[in-house]
Amino acid sequence: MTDSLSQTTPHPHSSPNMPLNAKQLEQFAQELDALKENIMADLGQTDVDHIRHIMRLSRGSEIVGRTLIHFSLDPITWSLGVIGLGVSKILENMELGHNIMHGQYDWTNDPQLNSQTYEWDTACESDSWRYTHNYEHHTYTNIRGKDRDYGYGLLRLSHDIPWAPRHLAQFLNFIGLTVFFQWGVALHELEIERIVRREISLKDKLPFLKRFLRKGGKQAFKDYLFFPLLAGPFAPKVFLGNLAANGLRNLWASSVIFCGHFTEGAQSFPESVCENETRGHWYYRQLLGAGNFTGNRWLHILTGHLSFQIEHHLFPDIPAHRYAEISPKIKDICETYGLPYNTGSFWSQYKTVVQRVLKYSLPPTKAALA
Amino acid sequence: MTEINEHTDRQTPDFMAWLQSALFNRKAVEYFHPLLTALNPLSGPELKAQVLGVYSETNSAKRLRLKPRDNWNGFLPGQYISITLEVNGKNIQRHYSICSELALWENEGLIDIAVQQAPNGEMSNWIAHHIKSNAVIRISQATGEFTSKENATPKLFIAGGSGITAIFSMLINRDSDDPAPTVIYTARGEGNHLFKNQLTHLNDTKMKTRNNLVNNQTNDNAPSVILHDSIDGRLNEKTIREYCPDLADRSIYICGSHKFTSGINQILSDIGIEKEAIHSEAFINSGDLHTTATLPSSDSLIEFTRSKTQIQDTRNKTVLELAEAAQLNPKAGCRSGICHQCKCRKTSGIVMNALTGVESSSGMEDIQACISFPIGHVKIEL
Ligand code: FES
Repeated sequence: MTDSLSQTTPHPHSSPNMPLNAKQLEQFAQELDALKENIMADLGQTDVDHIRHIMRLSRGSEIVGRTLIHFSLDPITWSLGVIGLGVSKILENMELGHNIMHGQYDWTNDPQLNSQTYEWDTACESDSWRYTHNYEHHTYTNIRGKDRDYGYGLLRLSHDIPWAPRHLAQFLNFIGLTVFFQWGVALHELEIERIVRREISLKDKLPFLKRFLRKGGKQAFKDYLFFPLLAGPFAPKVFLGNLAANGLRNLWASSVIFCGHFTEGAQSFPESVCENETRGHWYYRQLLGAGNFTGNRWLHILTGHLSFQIEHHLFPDIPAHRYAEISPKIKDICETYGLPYNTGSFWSQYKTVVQRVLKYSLPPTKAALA
Repeated sequence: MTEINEHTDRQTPDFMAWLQSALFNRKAVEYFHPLLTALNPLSGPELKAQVLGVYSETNSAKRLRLKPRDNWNGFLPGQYISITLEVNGKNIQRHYSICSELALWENEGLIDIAVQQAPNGEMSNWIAHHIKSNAVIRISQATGEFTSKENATPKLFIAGGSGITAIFSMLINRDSDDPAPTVIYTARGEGNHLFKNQLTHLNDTKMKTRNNLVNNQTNDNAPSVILHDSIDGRLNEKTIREYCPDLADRSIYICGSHKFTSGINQILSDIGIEKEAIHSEAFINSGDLHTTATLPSSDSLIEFTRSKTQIQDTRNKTVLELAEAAQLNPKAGCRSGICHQCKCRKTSGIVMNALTGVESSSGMEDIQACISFPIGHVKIEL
């Protein structure tokens, strides 16, 4: 366990327990760079075919799902519709939206696969996501105080954050975040925790709130007004169906993401590391801040390949369906350099997330302080 | 400084547009497009054309006959279209002059373009080896200012390499009562003059009284064409004067690579020809060649097309830094190639990737401004 109360680090370039010296770190970076260049040179038609296939699948399953919900007279048809719509949203958010917005398909120059103009099917506005996720989270991954995804400002995940009585209830926050995930993500840029601390005022955030309402409003209009009203007297059934489909997606997306960064093995870093950070150290930090879980091809697709969170964090702009083929090579490299490669089954990883949330809802014990 | 508050606050008054974005997060056509094109490749809102035939013009040049869809508006001789192809998953776009007669378009709805194959040209090589009849390609409306301006003064055309295509179009489509033009056409090596046959016919007509392109009895108006081989030496003041003694009395049209047109322009201005008499068009992609040569600073120039600003001497600065120097408030985040916030569209020119040292192609594509060093003359849509 690398969590320590001491934030003084010997050198700004190094992290707690850094096993590599500067030269090894550079070699490590070169190997990863070479790996990336190989893949980038190999990108081509199959990658575009893959993403377009998923796009057709997601849109097709949305059309089928909404149709089934609309015309269903029995709970089974209705449930199938909910699954269809839910799967469509999951594919759209995870494999399409998240990955396209990372710039994984920018090399195609296809306007429909453009990272900066893609808009996804969730309450969070794409521009806000691109800023908080692609820039803040991926640049400053798991740096306490800089990566606001780390605990989402709600969860205390290490003893480096001083304990307060409100943390006792953080398991409830965890459940809330799971259930309302899309709204949590949508409001991420609001930086509620800083407003509470009075570092910024609500007024500073008015432009953001406007954008939030515009996008969130559209999504709410679509799922909770337009399609329900289309069904006339059956509006409540459609309303509930859409709610369930959104819920399904929230549950899935949040669990996948928690498994990526909040597992027992995922480490966090002090702010000092980002001063003049080398590329090698950036890679090192990405590796240690992430965790994978195992599964078959379709499980990986449904997670948007975030089941390969390590590969994703090392190479956020390589088309995600390539992570599976990179993964063994990364493992090899990790072994060579004696670095951990955090992986396990979905449930074993999820269990450590829950344990971690519970553990840090309590103040540090004497043993942890020592 | 990161610029994130640049979100557009424009309200679209159009309710239908709002509804589409609420239901699909994009235009409805864009939402259904992937599903519909799977059924019919010609569907969709873009301008498209069907390839009806591919013919060899020279050893290294192809002529494509295209049938644009109904929503294409026609062209003026000298104009070009851009062609977008998906080559191994990547959309690439290049510009090609239309080189066919207006009558072909007006009567049959067809146009021709000529594609000169370049050693590293992604598009031209793909066309040479992979394009088949019946393929559907994306095109643009015809554009370009390089068209015949007025007809009273006799013209001198000077073409370099595939710059002949735009000029060829003006030649075969000129008014029958235009005074006789002179054409100086330079290309490198035997057999590399595009449209050589057709051009010699234009030339022959001066001697033989057989001209089905220009309907004149006297044939005084037939053009004289000089095919110059640049292996024998570049065009210079002396050769130009030799080929066209009365050049001072002509309006002059120049088309070719950037280097070619600026060279000829320099010669003409040294002679004392007035700027007003010269119309020139530089090829945006002169055969989509890669230039590995590091260019002198005087030749480096970045143009930001949307804001109509430019900066000279771009050495050792990234596109992002240059855009910031031009006070364009470009979007950026990590400044190290991770987040893609800085992505922008390069319309033409070459950039070098700072992380990999790889040079881009010269055509239109999306780049990450924070890790792109411009090389030579680069145009960015900002
Ligand atoms: S600013 Fe992040 S990739 Fe350019």
